[in-house]
Amino acid sequence: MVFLEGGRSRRPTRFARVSRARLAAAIFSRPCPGRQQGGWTMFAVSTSAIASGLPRPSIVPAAALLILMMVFPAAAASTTPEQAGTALARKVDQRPDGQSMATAGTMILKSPDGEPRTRQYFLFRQDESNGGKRTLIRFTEPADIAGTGLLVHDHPDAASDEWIYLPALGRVRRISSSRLGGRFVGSDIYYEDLQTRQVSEDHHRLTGEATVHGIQCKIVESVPKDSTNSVYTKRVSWIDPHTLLPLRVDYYQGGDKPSKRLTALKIERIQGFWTMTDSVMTDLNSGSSTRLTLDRVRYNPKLPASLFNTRTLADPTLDRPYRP
Amino acid sequence: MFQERTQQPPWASTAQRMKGKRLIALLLVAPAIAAFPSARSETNPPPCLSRDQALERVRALRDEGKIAAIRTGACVQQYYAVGLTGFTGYEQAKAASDRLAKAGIQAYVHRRGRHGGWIVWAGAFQDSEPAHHRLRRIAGAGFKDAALYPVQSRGSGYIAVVTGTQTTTESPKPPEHGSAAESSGTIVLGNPPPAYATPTRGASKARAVQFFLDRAQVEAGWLPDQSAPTDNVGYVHVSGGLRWLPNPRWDVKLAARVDGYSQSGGAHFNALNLDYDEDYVRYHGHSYDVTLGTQRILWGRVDEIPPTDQISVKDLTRGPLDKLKDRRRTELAARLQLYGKSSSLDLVLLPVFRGAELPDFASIWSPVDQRTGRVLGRPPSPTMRYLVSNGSFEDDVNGVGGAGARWEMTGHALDGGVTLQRVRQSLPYFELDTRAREVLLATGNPAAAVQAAGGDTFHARHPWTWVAGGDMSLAKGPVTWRAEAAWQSDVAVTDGDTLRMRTVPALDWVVGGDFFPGDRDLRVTLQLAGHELITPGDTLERHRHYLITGDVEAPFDHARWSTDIRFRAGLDRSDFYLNPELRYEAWEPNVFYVGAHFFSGAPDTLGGFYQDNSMVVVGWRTRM
Repeated sequence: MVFLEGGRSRRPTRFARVSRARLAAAIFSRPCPGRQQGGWTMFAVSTSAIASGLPRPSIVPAAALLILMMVFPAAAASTTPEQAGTALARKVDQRPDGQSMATAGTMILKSPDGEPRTRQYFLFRQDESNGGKRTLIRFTEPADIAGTGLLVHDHPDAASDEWIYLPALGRVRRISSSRLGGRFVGSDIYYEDLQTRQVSEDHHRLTGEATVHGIQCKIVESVPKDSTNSVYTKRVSWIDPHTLLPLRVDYYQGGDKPSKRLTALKIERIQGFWTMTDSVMTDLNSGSSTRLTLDRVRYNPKLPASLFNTRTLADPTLDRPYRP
Repeated sequence: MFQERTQQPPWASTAQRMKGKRLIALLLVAPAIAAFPSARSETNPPPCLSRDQALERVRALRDEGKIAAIRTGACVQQYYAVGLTGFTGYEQAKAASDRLAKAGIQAYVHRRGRHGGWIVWAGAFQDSEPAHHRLRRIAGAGFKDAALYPVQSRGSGYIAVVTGTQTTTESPKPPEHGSAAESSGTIVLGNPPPAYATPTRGASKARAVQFFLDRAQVEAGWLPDQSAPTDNVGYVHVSGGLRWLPNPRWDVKLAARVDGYSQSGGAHFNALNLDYDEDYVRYHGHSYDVTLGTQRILWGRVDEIPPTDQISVKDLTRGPLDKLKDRRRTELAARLQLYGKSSSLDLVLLPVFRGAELPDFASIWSPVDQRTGRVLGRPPSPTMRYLVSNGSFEDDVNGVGGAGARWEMTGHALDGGVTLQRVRQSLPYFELDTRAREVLLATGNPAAAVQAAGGDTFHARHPWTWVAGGDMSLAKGPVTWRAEAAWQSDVAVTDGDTLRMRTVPALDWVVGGDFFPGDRDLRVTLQLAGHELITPGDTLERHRHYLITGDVEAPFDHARWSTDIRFRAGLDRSDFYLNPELRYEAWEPNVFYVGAHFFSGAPDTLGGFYQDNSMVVVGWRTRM
């Protein structure tokens, strides 16, 4: 509904307010000949309520306004759902998240019929100037995996190198970065979920909007272009357009129903960066879940390049000074 | 857990059905009412805010002593629409719209009522500045009559609402000054599912001194075979100590281990051994580490039998039961590790030689079986049987240990390393005493030979050898390939004619890889290994042998359980070892397991030597 205050100036600063009934009576629509924008038909909207002596703004009917918001880029999304989805996915990918990050996190694994198991870890990330990224994850609890580390080098060409250090092995071991399935330390998070996925690897499509916990989100469906480089046949993300965080992600592995769901439980603005600090990944088939909480987050700490090599991976004492 | 409502744009479904102003009015009004149930009661909706603005407003309200929260709800959004009027006909308006389009300005034609003429809309903005900018562009395109039409649209957005008044006059506690997580906005999106304990985490400040339990293990075994040397075995292990990290540069570790062994129901044996573990001082330089003290140094890349791993101390006290790292002891060493951008150089000096840790001769894992008169790796014979059963063994553990260097690089998908070592072999080679050998060759009488030796019948030798080798791992697709090879200059053998110990060169190699079938949790490691004596002549030992080793590990039930099957199988001789194990790991950090060790094979192979030791075991392992 549009409520406008009256105004007679050419470029008024006041707004006209009219009754709902008068507005309803004042407007009608008729299809414009030959005009079709983005699959929606534009309408000619009566402006009979606009006072004489135009240009003097008084009323811009709601339908016209909605159409304007729909078709003009300044107030609306891209033209096609695919373009809109890709644009939003790109914005999410390019969401500011600092050049580096150090976090202390907790992972709680819960099976439907078992006691929760807790893992504590530290995660370090450094974005490189060439577009690559380096990540080190170090587990500190429980004792049987304490010292376990995973080192990932993401290169600008989407290739990755990964190494793992297992205290029981006593050595650093290169592992295949093309491993996508499989549970990371027994959780509901797959190895693919830990990797950075390029926007260009999927077909994106904006399918609509929905409210998640009172926040209006845009829904983007992402389908891998190459089915061999993902364990998922489809991902549907509910993205908050303001924070550019996905508040919910449904993962499909064939079929019409999702097999996993990521749900955001809390987002915080830390050092100016919106951060998902509490989330749950649920295996919808088995009912198990993995809750991830970030207990301490530090953006843009000074992390040396030496933190992200196999020397540090093999010696947990070397990353202690940088733990938040 | 949350409510959601998929909302199609109001005009989308009406596009095909719009007929008449009455229907339009209803369609415009109805969605507005449906979307905002409280709309009828909100005659003065607040202005819509951005997320940041709403959060700021909430903070300001809280500072005023109110309880406030960010919500989404009905609010009024202000827009600035840019339009050109004065067109009496559609064609005229269309021409203007086309002219604007040529100027790069998107525009659309609308009818202003039945008699109101036509208007060309050329943009709608939430802020006035871009709206004025659009006006200037339109003026530049030759249209002087464009105007801004500020409008308000009722919709849904962020608002700050007051939900109550604080009972205290204190202002809300601001985020901790200087804290690592200085948040200025928090949005809770719902409650976690029940049965989740709220995670608590202590401060990250690492203690300078930490006591640790590296490994504790208790295991009981039962040997069902009638020919087994004993009925039951037991094993207890505890290793741990303390670690002092006064600053990021220095690392001091003091650790020890206790191993307890028992056998009953046959070859009775009990032992409790105390040994040092890793006891060192380490200094971390910018691009180097220096470590002095006892250390466990594991070189090589492949599993179980890395050929270049010739610098470490082997542990034979439990035969092949344990995995590689637990089959290695520590030794006194001075170690310098130099690090480059993607390479490293590891230099090791062993000032004191430590031979392999051997079990008591009474242990069923001893490589010298005096009960049956056999030595691991030697073909049995009546002569050998008498000598071993009735003779004695002396171990030479004196002297220096040698030195070694290893250079390693990491790259894109490929890691590799080369090594050069001058070391004494950790495993003892039992040489027949010279006097005993001469008498045996002269008389063929092993009893006389044993008597002639005077002292020990067999002397353990750890010959010096050069080791040159390399290793690599390549991640290619779903498989991580590994390969390793080492040439040794002096491997001990016994001459078939003279029964004298001599040394010959040898080559050991392993190729293999690991992969995850179906890209799931099942991990499979397979390796092909070979050992070849180079121009050995006539020796008592086999000149070559080949085998396949592997490991199949499968966690299940969300890693609360796992199975692990290790195996090795000879390809040219019968030589088989199988170790299946079922583990329960849900009660972390404890692991409860039940397993079996099965041996079979030709007498001069590992499988054949230990085939009477096949057993079923249960046990518990933990770390702290």
